Amino acid sequence: MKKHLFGLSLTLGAVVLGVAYVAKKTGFFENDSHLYDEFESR
Amino acid sequence: MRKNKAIMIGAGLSNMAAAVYLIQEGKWQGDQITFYSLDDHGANDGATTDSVTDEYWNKNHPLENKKGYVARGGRMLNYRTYVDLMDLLNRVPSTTEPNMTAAEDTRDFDAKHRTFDKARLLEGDKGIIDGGKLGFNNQDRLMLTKLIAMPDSEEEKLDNVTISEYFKDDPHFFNTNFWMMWETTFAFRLQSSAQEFRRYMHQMIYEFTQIEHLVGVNRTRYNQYESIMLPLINYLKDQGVKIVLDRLVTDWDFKDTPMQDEITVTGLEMLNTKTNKKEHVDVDDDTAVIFTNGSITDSATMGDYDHPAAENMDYGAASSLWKKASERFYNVGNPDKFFADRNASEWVSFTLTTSDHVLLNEITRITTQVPGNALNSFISTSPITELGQRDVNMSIVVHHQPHFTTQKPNESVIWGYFLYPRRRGEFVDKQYIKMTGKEMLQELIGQLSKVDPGPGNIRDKESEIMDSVINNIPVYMPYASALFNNRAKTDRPKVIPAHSTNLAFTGEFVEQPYQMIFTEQSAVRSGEIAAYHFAGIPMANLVKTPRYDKDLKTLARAAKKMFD
Repeated sequence: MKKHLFGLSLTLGAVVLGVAYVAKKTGFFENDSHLYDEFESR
Repeated sequence: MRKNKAIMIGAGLSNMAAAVYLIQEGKWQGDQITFYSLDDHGANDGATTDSVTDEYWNKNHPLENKKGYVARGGRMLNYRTYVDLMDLLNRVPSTTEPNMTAAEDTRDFDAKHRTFDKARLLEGDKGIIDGGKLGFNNQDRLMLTKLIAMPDSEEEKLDNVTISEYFKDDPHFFNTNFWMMWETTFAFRLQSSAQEFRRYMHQMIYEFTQIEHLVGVNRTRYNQYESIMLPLINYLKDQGVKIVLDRLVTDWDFKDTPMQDEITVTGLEMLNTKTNKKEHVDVDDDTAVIFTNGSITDSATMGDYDHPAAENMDYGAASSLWKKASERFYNVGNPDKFFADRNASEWVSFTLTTSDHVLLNEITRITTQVPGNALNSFISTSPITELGQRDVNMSIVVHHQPHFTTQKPNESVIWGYFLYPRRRGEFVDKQYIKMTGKEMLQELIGQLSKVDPGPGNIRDKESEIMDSVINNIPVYMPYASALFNNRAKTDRPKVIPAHSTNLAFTGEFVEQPYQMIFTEQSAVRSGEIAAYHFAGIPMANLVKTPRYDKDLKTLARAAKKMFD
């Protein structure tokens, strides 16, 4: 049982890491709001 | 830097938007704003022919036949992405519908006339073809996925890469239904910028799943001059804004600074095109200059039923002024990228006015859809591209009628365009650019006859249709697709360039985060940014832009569609 749980956790962890990697590579979490900072009136 | 007065160079949509936001959000008075421009039709204009034939660009090409209507260009709207445009239109009253804002007017009309295109692509011997089958192979899917997966922060990788270069190992892509619909819906050409194509794939990703029916498209009640520009013009005039037309701004006075990197406008040279006399306007420390640095209808010329549109070789009014600024400052872009490559940017359009509905009814019969829904593209019989492939040779838009407020009940107005004007007609053996309005109509009837499902054929009514013509105005636009020209990210100035103290750039030739150009959306947003900057309003107050490219459901639908 413990072995199964360990395997499941490992698989789940790998999937989460994989999704996070793809999301980062494709800019899924990028936020462009800071790109407007240079247009602010000073 | 906050200012209390503004000079607008150019009276198109972006500067009109800037003025509205200065008044409503910046709490300026109308008399603090002055426009200098050659005309106020905007790029997506529409008017009676006789009211525009004598305008600046056509003055050396007088028309014999000034009857009928003309719309040089046209653009479909999309509420879901054109959020700044809808915000703007919600701030001004409609000119045609009492007690409605211009936005309510459009939403009301559109809700009663939903777009559902049933004949997006037509092909000889086959008639209407199923554009829903995008036609991708695995290589197409891979290349497109790579483009969509590229994050904003890495888009410089596509600096100076054309679409044909990006897909150079995958020529099959250009033979897919997807490409033929995408190129004609948005007016991309093989030489266009892959960087801009990427932005479209991001911002229009949800359109991917419905492009064969254009169900995401929204339309104004009348042409976009009367439904968008006139409400803005009337509102601004009511507010006391001074709109001076017949002025060609020809040169700048800039402040001399030690490093020559501070951009401060101190004066403007201009030509009064009515009197042909030079004038000078001083720009003081408290005045912002908001400049639309390019127009896709600059240098456009018109022909008529019996004459082709002459080719005007002028560089363009707005872009000439931009060039003078770029010769002095290193960070305001490179106008030659957009205005010195007509081969990549030119189009020919035509506006046909008839005295009855025979042609309109024939198009309705052949395309099986009512006027107002259509963007019909006709695929060539033989290979016509440089890659030796078939392609769309012409497209038509049959608007809901009437398309002009002054149009009579018996009249029909139809608009069409040729994305590659140097190609030759299939039914009139000459280049589209050299065709008269009559020859363009003959070419259209030929294309319709090729896809006519019968019984009978539109050819049977050809003489009746030709007799019904009031006019057909060909328009040559050397810079119609210039905004899509191949470029690097630094080839366009930022809305507020670094070290600028009073100069902003607006319109379709400016760099702003994420926005795709050739949309009323990006034009309006550039004006909004300029207005907020000079009125001292935080950029956090800008209209929020939706990111469908980060919506998992939309992405999943797009991925599924790719395999249809």
